[in-house]
Amino acid sequence: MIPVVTSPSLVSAVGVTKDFPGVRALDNVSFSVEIGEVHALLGENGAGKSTLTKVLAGDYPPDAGWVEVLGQRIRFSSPHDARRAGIRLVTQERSLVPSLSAAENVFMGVLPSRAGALLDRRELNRRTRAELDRVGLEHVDPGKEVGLLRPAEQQLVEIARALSREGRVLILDEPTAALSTQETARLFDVVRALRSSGVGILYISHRIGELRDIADRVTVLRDGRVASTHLVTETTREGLVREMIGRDLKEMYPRRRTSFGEPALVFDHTTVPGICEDISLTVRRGEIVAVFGLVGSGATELPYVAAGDRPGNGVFLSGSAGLVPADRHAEAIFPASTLRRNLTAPSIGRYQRLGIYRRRAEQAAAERQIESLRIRPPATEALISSLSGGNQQKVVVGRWLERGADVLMLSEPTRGVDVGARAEIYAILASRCDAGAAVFIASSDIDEVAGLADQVVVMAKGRIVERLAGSAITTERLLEAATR
Amino acid sequence: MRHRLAGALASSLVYISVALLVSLVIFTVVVPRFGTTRNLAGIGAASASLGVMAVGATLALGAGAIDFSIAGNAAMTGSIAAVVAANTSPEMGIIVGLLAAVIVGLVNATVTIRFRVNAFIATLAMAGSLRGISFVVSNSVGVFVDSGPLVTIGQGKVGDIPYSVFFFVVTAVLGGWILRSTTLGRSMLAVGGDSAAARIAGIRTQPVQYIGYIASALAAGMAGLLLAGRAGVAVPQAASGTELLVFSAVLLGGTSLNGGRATVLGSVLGILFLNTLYTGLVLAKVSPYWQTIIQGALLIVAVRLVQLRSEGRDPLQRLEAIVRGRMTDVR
Repeated sequence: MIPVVTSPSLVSAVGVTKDFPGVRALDNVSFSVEIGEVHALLGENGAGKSTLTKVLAGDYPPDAGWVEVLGQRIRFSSPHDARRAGIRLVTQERSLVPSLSAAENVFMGVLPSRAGALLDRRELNRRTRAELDRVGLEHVDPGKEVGLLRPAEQQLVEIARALSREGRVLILDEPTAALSTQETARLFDVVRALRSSGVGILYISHRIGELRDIADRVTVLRDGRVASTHLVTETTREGLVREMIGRDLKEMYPRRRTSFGEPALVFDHTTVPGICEDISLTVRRGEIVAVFGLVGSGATELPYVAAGDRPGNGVFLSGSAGLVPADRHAEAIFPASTLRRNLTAPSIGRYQRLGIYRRRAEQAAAERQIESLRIRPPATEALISSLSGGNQQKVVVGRWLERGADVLMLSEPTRGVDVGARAEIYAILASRCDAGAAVFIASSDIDEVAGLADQVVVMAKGRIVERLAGSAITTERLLEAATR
Repeated sequence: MRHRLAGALASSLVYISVALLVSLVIFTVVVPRFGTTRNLAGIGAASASLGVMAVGATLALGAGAIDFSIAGNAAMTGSIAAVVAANTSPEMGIIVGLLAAVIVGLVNATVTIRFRVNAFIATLAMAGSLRGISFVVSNSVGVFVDSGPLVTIGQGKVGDIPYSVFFFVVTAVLGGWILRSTTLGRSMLAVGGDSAAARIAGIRTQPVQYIGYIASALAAGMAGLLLAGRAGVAVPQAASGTELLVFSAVLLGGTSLNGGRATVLGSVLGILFLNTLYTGLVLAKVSPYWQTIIQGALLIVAVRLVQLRSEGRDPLQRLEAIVRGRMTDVR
């Protein structure tokens, strides 16, 4: 049952639609946050959560629909308008200036001044002290350079900034992703205090388990649409998961494999300064091994170490390696180039006869991969940047299959990939395993790790803290180990 | 005591201060004529116009604005001021010259910020154009500046100290004050540090970036006037090649090429250091070509040191942690 609302909502999205090239990110989304409410927004990667927050924060103008604050329709032409309406956004994207002090970051844009132009440093430090104390950063000096703080501390500085600015609506985008259990508990205290003072909080999280502790209502987004809105007390974990992925978990992930072959990738007491320490693990042929860890654990770097991109001792490889990096835009695709060139980049030396390049052979190879991976649109000459994230990722995987790689290393394999394409990518990986390939993935997506892997190592602070295999791999045990 | 020592170590000015002191001491001991007041005043006078340029470049870099057109701008401003002065009045020359300099800054800002042309290329292209304008305006020959305030500032002295040195000091104090103590200055550092983050935090970034380019251009224009006044003639080749020297000094002083980290005092020390080094080498009869070789090497060292600092890996930062009596977990 949803409470009957008599007064206008604090903030609401009304029929919001937002298109990006090749993908509809939001499709007729209506959603509201009431006064004194913590409303959780749940959804898979690519479900539209971040896009919705950016529409509410005035970063993206909607293509259809609008945003209302206290019943007033608002035309956002820039983030300034959203700020004026009292909407405060704390994103996962870095929004701090690392070379400046914590104090200047908290009060950036609204620095206390005398005579309108002179920085009042004493007042700045006094007020920053209070804001930092409020979020549990009593030990941090306001004058400390932000770039030298730990990631979790930086996150709390961002939250301190958002809280300092008399927001009526606070949007927290995965605020606990990099926080320890104590830091999370502290943050929840702060959020509860804000709620009782009448602030509305839009709380975005991946961790279904923590919603009961903090949220009043929960809305599930799937493929850019609202799948449901419930009171948190009326939900079950299984029900929410089903709504998030639009089917049962069993259908999302291929079934686990049972027999494995020879070792293809071995870490033997591998240490890479600043990334990992004393890592030992084995990936066999026919097996998917996942390394799981929260942001800053070093997990996402391990495939790079395996592929030799970050040199480390004691890494042994037997077979042909293919690395799918975490940051598709910066590290994987050639954005100004065609689908064909992106698919054939590592194999370009093969399309030749007597040393003369043969365009026709390259063309045929690209068409073959597009068909077998069901890449959309099936056009070799389409620009890669016009594809959806999921199809781009299939291209990046496909270029290694074309190359004949049989030891696949993937970091965050489905970041920014929609649900449908995720299932397809999982199926591709599983079928390569059945054909004798070894697959090594690093992921901070707990459901993906639990659903896909035959063996998991959990990392925290660069070290392995837990090893799980087969049916022992559950989201609860993964999370417990990662935050230990 | 321990705290104060640690604070001093933490400062980005350590390297450049030590470099300046060491070079002063060595040259005074080794080169007989180096330590004379006359020579030191000469270093000061040579530093004045370059130093004014450096102050502007520091503000601009702090705001993330890279401006390589400063030397060309100085030459153009000097030429325009001299030609206008010859036809109207010296004061009018100054006004029109500085106005032209500021317009150049506005054009640089518009091209790089609004049209998003790469700043390095845009201002390098501008430098070429400005040099050309200087030749056109002055008809390819020097234009004499023989009276008026420019000559007074360029050639007057109190005792052994030229007026231009005082002008430099005032500019540096003003620039440093803007950067450290005004909300505008802090906004410039925020925008230079990360313009997307500054925008999210509610700073209107474009006006701030414009101000960076205008500060740089205005300072370059003033430097051009000082040069013309000191020489008594505005030549189109004025300040040729000084942009490399100015940027070397600014980066040696601890300002970051990537924006967000800037110190005017560091730039002042950087200019004094380079001029000390060059004067000392000349007096020691070292080939002048060595100047440019050393300058190039120092530039690379300076950029690397600033990088290490922002990563928390500066050797001095580690020493600071030890002096404070605890190891922080900066990586």
